Amino acid sequence: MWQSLPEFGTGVLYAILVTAAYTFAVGLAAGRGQPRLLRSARLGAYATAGLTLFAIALLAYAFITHDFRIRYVSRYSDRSMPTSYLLTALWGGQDGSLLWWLFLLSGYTTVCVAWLKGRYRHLQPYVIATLMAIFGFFVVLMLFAANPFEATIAGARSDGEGLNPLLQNYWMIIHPPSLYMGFVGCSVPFAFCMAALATGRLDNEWIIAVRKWMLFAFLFLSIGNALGMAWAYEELGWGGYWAWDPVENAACLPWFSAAAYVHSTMIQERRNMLKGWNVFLICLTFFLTIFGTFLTRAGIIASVHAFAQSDIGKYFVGFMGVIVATAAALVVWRLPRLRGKSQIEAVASREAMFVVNNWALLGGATFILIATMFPKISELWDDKVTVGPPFFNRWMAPIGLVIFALMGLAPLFGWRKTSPDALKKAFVFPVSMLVVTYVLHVAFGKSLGYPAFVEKDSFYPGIVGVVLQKVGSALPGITIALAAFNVSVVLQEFSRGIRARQRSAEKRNETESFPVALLRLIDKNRRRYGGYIVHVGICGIFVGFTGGAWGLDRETAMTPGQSYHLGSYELRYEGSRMCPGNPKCSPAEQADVSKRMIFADLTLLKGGAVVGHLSPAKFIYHRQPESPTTEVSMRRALREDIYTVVGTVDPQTKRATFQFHLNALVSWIWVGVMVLVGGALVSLWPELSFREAGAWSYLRASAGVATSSMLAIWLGSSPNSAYAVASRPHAPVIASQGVPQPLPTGALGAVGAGLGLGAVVAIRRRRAR
Amino acid sequence: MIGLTLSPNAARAALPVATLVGAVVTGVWLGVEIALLVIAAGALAGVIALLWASVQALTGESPLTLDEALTLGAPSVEEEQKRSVLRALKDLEFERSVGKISEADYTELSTRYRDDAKRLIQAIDAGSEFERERAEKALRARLEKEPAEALPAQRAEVETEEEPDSDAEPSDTHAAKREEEAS
Repeated sequence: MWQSLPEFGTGVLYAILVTAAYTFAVGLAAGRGQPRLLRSARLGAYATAGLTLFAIALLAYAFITHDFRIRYVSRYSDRSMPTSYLLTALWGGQDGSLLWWLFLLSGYTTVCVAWLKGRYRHLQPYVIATLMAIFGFFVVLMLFAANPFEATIAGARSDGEGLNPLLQNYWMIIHPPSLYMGFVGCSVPFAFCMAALATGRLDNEWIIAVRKWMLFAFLFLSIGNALGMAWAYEELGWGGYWAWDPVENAACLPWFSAAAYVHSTMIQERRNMLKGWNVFLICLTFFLTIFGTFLTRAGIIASVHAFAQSDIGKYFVGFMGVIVATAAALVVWRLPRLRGKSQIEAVASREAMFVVNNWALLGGATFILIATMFPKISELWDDKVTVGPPFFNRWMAPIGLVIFALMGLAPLFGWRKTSPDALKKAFVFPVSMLVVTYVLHVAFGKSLGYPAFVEKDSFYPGIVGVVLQKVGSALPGITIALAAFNVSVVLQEFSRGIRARQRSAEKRNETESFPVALLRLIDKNRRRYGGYIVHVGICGIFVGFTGGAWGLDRETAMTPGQSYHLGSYELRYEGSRMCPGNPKCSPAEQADVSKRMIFADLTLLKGGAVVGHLSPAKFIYHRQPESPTTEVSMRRALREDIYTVVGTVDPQTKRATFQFHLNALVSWIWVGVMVLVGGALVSLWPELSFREAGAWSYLRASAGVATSSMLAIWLGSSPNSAYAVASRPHAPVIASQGVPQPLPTGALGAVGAGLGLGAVVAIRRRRAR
Repeated sequence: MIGLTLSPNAARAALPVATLVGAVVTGVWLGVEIALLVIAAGALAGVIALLWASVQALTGESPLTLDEALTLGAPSVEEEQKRSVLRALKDLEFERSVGKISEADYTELSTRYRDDAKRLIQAIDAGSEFERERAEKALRARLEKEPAEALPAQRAEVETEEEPDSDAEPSDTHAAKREEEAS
C-alpha cells in the first residue's frame, strides 16, 4: 500500500483520524476523574499533533522535490518556483490549506495541553476531547473531499501549473498563516467553553483561562486582516485596501465577536454577570471562523478570493450544525448555572457601557454578515441583488463611529455606578480635547488639505438618503474629533494611574519618578493598560480610514514627456520599456525569463523638485499569458501615498493609460495596527510568574517574533516602497517568479534583533527559574 | 563503565532537540528536502513513543509519578469562587486609588467581597479538615523516618522561589500561597 508518497500521505491522514478518535474517547472517559485516563488522553493529544507535523512535513517534501504524482503539488507549483514560494504553496490551494489548518490546530493543541499541566484538572478531559473532535472533522474533510495527497489520475506530469502570480508576494507568505492562526486560535476558547458547560463549572475560572487564548486569537486575527489589507493594497492595484469582498468580510466577522468577548469577559470576572452571554460569544466566534471558511471554500458567494468550487460545503454545513446543536443542548442543560448573580445597577456604569459596546460590535458584525449574504438571500424572492463597496462604506461608517465613541466612553465610568462628581471629573479633559480638536479642524482643516466637511453624493432617495449624506459629509471632522477624545481618555487614564502610584509611594515615604511609575503601572495592570494601548492603535486605524475622504482618484492617458498634476504633485511620464531586453532594465529584470515586464517610468515632482521615480508595470507570465498582473508603484509617507497603476501601453507610440491615486493618511492604518499589536502583547505578556511560564513563554515568544517580523517588513518598506527609487530611476528592484526578492537589510536586521532579544530574555528567564 | 542518567524532562526534550538540530544541520549541508525528512522522521519517532506511553497509561502499566499526581489535583468550586472574589477585591482597590469609585461604594463593595471571602475560606477549611489531618499524619510519619538535616535545605529552596506576579492566574497546586498574599 505504501509504494508511493500519495498513498503513504493518505495513510498518515487515516492514522491522524484514528489517533484523534482514540484520544477523543479516552478524553471523554477521563472526565469521570481517573488520572491515568487523563494522562493517556494528554499523551494521545501530543501524538495526534505529532502525526499532523509528520503529514505536513511529507507534503512540504513533495513540494520541494516536485513530486507531481500528487495532484495538489502539480496544480500549485512548478519547477521554476523558489523554495519560499514552494512552501507558500502549502496553503495556496484548498486541500493544502485544510492540512495547514490542521497543522496550526496541532500546534495550539500541543501548547494548550502542555499549559494545562497542573491546571484546570476538571476541564482538561473535555478540552482535549473537543479539540480532537475538531481534528476529526478536518481529517474527515480531507480524506473524503479534499485530500492534499490525492494522486494525479493521469500520472505524474513533467511540470506543474504553478502558483497564481497574485499569490507570489511576500505579504501572501505571511498573511494566510497569520489569519489562520487567528481562526484556529478560536478553537481553544471554544474547547474550554464546551468543557465548562460539560462539567457545569461555569464560575469565573474558566473564562480567566480562556481570556489569554482569545486575546491571542484576537491578536492574530488583527495581524492577519491587516496583512491581507497590505497585500490587497500593494498587489491588486485598484488603489484601496478593503473592497468588502465576501472573503474579507468573513475574515473580519470573528474579529468583531472576539473584540466583544474580550470586553464582556471583564464584566463576568468583576460582577459575576453575563455568563450565558460570554458562552454565546465564544461559541459565536468559533462558529464564525467555520462559517467564514465555509464561505470561502463552498463557493456559494462570488469572490475574488474564493477557492475553486467543490463539494466540501456540505461537510461544513454538517459541522456547523453539530456545533450549534451541541452548544445549544449544553446551554439548555446548564441554563440554571448560567444565570448571573448580579445585575446592572446603573446606566452610568462601566458594565452598562461594555454591554452597549458589545451590542454595537455585534450589530456591526450582523450588518456585515447579512449584507455579505444578501446576494444569496435575494435569490430566494427576486433576482440576485449585488451589494457593493459604496453600500458598505455608507452604512458601516456611522456604525463604526458609534463603536469608536463607545470605546472612549467606557473607561471613563467606574464599575457598578459612577457618581455625578466622578463623571464630571472624568469627562472634562477628554470632552475639552474633542471640542478643541473639532473647532481647530473646522477652522484650519481646509487650508491644510483635510477639510472637516467633505460633500458626499446622495445614495438613496428620501429621508434616509439625506441623513446618510449629511452624516457622511460630516464624518471626517467627527472621526478626527473622536480620535482626539479617545487618545485623551487613554492619556488621562495613564496620568491618573501614575498619580495614584506616586501618592501611594509618598505615603510610604518613597518617591517614584514618572518613568518608573509608568512602567510599574503597566507592569502591575498589564491587561488594562495594554487594552488602552490597543485603543490608541484603533485610533490610528480610524484616522487612516478617514483619509479616504481626502484622497484623489484620477485616470488619464499620456504620451512620453507629458505631465499630470495630482494635488500638489506633478507626475511626468518618461516612457515605457519592456524587460528583459531593454538596456535600461536592471540585471535582475534582465535575468528573469519567467515573464515579460512592461514598465511605464514616471518622475514624481513637488514644487518643481524631483522627489522620486515610480515605475508601475504589467507582468505577463509565460505560464499564464491570459492573466497579466498589475504591479503597483507607490511612494509612501505618513501624510499621503502616491499610488500609480498603468493600464495599457501602446508599443508603437508608447502612449499609456494610468490610474493615479493620492491616498491620504493610509500609513496611519499600518502604524495603528502595529500599536494595536504592541498593546495586545502588553496585555498578553507576563500574566504568569516565572515558575508558571511553561508553554506560554513559547507562545509569547512566537508572538514577539511575529511582531518583530511585521516591524521589520514595515521598516524595510517605508517610507519609499515598491518601485519608487530616487537614485536609480530605471533600475527598480522587483519581486518576480524566477528571481526571489530579497528582504531589505533593515528588515533582516530587525528580525535578527527581535529573535536575539527573545533568545536573551528566554535564557535569562530560564536562569532565573 | 560510565553510568549516564537523564532526568525525565531532559529525556523528553532530547528527541525534539535532536530533530531540530538534525534538521538544521542537514538543511545546511544537504538541502531543505532532507531537512524535511529529518523533521518527519523525528515526528514519527515521537508519535510512536507517545502512543506507546499513552497505551501504557491507559492499561495501567505505567504508574503515575508523585509529581504527576500532584498536578492532577482539582480545586473545589469554593476555591475557584474565593480566587474570583480576591481578584475583585484587588481590582476594587485599584479603582479606588485612581478615584473611579466613591468612598461609600468602595466601603459597601469591599465589605461585601470580604464577607464572601471569609465565608468561602470557612467552607474550604471545613471541607479539607479530614485531608489536612491525613497530611499531617503522613508528614509526622515521614519526619520520624527522614534525617532532620534534609529539611532546612528544602525550606531554603521554597523561600528562594520567584515572587508570583500579582496579575498571574493561580495554578491549582500553588493557589493557596498566592491567595494568602492577595488577602
